[in-house]
Amino acid sequence: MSAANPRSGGDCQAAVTARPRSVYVIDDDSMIRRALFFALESAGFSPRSFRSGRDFLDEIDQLAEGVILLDLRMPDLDGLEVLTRLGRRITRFPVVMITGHGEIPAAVSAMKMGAIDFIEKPFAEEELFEILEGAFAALPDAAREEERRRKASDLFQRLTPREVEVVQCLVDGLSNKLIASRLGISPRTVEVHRANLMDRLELGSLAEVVRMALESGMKPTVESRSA
Amino acid sequence: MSLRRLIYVSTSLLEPADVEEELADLVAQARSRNQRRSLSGCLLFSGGTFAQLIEGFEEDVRDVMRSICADRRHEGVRVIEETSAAERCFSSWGLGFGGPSLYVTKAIRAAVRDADNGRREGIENLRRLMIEFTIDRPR
Repeated sequence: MSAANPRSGGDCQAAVTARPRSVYVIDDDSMIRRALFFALESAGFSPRSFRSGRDFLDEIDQLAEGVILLDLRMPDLDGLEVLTRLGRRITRFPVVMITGHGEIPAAVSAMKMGAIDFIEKPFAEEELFEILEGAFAALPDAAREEERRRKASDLFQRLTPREVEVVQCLVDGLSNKLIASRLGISPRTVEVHRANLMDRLELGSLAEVVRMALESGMKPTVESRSA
Repeated sequence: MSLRRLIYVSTSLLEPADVEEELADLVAQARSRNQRRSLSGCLLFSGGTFAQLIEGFEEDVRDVMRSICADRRHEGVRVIEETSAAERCFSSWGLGFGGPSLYVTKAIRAAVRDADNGRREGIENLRRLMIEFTIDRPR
């Protein structure tokens, strides 16, 4: 990287941009790493390259949020495996997958696993930059969403395991009577649990509890998706 | 009765600011309508463009296309492939993908371009893409 620190003023562009737009290139091919690094840096991004997914994951905790350009085909950990290991961190590190031509199943798998886009080699730099602009525009939203999720999930730590089960039933849209029968307790006890958990969460309505539960990452038990 | 399958592409008129909600509404409406009519297929939405494969009995496909063409949430409906089919590609109907993706947008554009040139490859790839988005492939 060049010696200039984008945050150290002097450069108007850097002052407006406020923070570097980090792009992490993960590719086992050194030619591609070098080419991408140069193209990205010339376009005003702050690239860093890694020769393997493992190298990147080892360092991720020390890295600023940014977009990952991830090669699909790599020895050791392949791109899809790196995606899996990223887990929830993908909200702070959105992934654009890069691969050779004509891999529809892999592209779709990657996108189902949370990659925001997929780009086939050889590609025009403008295409890559277009995707990156979109990714950086969406990044603050993603970071806020992650923050909300963390807060909501912290809040649910206050509940007893039984109360969490009740919340799950509420998320599933069950009535008190059905909750009682699912959990094998009396409807009266369900009411007590509900009152207690609303106190503990300091929430005023059932709708808020359900919204918070969904925000924390809880899912309805019955999958409604038909596809 | 014979099965009919078609793929069309159109330009979205959805307000970009509420595109997520509008798309969810659209999918919910289409899903229940298509279920009633035993229409199956897949919708893709990306980069302000819709692509949809719809298949079912001839009459149902014709009726649904009439209502699709009249829908004000899009314009410029262009059928890029229409054939009779011995069997269905999809068991039900659903949204395959909805969001900004250059990959999906390019696949749709390539299908239109190939349709213009009387070529099949882009259309074939678009259908494969729809199928991939729909099936649950174990990794």
